Amino acid sequence: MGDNICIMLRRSPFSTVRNFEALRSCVGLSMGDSPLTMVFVEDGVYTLSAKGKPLLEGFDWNKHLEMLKELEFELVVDGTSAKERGVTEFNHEPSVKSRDEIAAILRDAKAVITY
Amino acid sequence: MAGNKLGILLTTSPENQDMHTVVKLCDAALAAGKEVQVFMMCDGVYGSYCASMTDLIPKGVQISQCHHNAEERKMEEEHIPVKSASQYIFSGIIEDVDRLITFC
Repeated sequence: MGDNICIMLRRSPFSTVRNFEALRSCVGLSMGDSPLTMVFVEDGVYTLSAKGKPLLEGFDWNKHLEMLKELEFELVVDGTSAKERGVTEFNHEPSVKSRDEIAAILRDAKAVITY
Repeated sequence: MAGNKLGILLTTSPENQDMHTVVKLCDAALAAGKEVQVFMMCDGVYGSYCASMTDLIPKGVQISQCHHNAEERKMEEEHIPVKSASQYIFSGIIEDVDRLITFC
């Protein structure tokens, strides 16, 4: 088990502001010493979809994603979830990985926070 | 649990089963001699208004909450017995504890 903190987003960003909150939390957590990985699975993959547009004013999650990319944190998308949902184009250049690779990230993390 | 420190993240509001579980989990961890730190964010900050949660503080549980989320919800933190904190503090909790359990 390493020091890595894994934040996993499972829900659609269109039905909750929790994804926005999760990303805000990530920006805060990035100030700590532990490496951080964000994993997007199931409906969470819509958060990175190039076609996804935030609907609620003041809750544009892209500003947090831009910050995390600037800080060079890795954004990881579950390829199977994306394929199942027809999400083929992404914002913020995430790494598309297999479920086995994502399972390895979760297994090796010190803490997994699921939203 | 191998280590002696337990961290708990609570993000759901008090009417959710989660808070009751967190309170009981804290009691059990204290009884087992563990140190417990709870961080509340999102609607979890409403736990600050609940005696079942704040009663854990004199027992030794360290409870803090996200200041940003409390401010969004117009909570008057000066009247709340839990510590006002930031996500940076939460990152310190994660680093400090041996095991983190999340209720999201």
